[in-house]
Amino acid sequence: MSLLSTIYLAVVVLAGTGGHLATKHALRCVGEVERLRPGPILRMLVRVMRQPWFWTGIVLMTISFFSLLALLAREPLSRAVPATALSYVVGTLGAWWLLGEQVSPTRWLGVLLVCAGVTLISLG
Amino acid sequence: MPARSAFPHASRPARLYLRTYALILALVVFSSVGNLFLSLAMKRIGDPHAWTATALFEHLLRILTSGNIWIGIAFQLLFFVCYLTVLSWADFSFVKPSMAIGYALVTLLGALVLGEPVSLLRWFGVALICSGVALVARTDVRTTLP
Repeated sequence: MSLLSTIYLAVVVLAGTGGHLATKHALRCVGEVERLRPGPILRMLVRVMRQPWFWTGIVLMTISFFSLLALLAREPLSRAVPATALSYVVGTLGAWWLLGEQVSPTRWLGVLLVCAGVTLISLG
Repeated sequence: MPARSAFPHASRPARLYLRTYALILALVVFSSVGNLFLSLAMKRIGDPHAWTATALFEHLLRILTSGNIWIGIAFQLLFFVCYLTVLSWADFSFVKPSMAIGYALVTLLGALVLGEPVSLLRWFGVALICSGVALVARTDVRTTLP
């Protein structure tokens, strides 16, 4: 894989994960939906759209999406597999490091099994 | 769980888990159904006839006037609302791996409903994902203070 494709792959994973983490951070500022009713959910949506972190997340996810398109234009679909599988590990690392979530050994084992499973599914 | 008394959910963990699982299941189904409609629409539309501005505009017009595209977009929006709702209380490192159950559902539905052949490698992948999601499901839904 060429250097440019590797860069695209890194951007897909890092910008995508960063986007989801930024969105999660924005939601933490908003507070949780206490009751699963249309009212509280709508209020959460309105509040989250006022959060700069939410829009940071949307921009990062858009960059990740276009980087994926650029990667797929140069490489076969199977080369996008590492991006999907890696995002589970990178996402968990990021949630632990940037958001302070406690990732227990059980959760880590689960994440690694999911990552391996997604790789196998994409290959088979 | 005295250590987690600071958590508002500590008194009703069963309900919290139920809500979290239900929403994750719903968002996975919405996302898969949305992708199905988007893929149906794009397969019918195909590639643009040429890479000129006029041809691309016509292509875009064909996409935007396809009913299936809008059904797909509606399901993707539903997915995103469910995703934001569950992330409003649950850890990202809980939700993200749990969403991989979608691969298992799509494979299972493809095999059972559409009769698609599934390779042994793929079944093994599904088994790994299911065991991984089961392990993650045993961990705390939220590990940070609100």
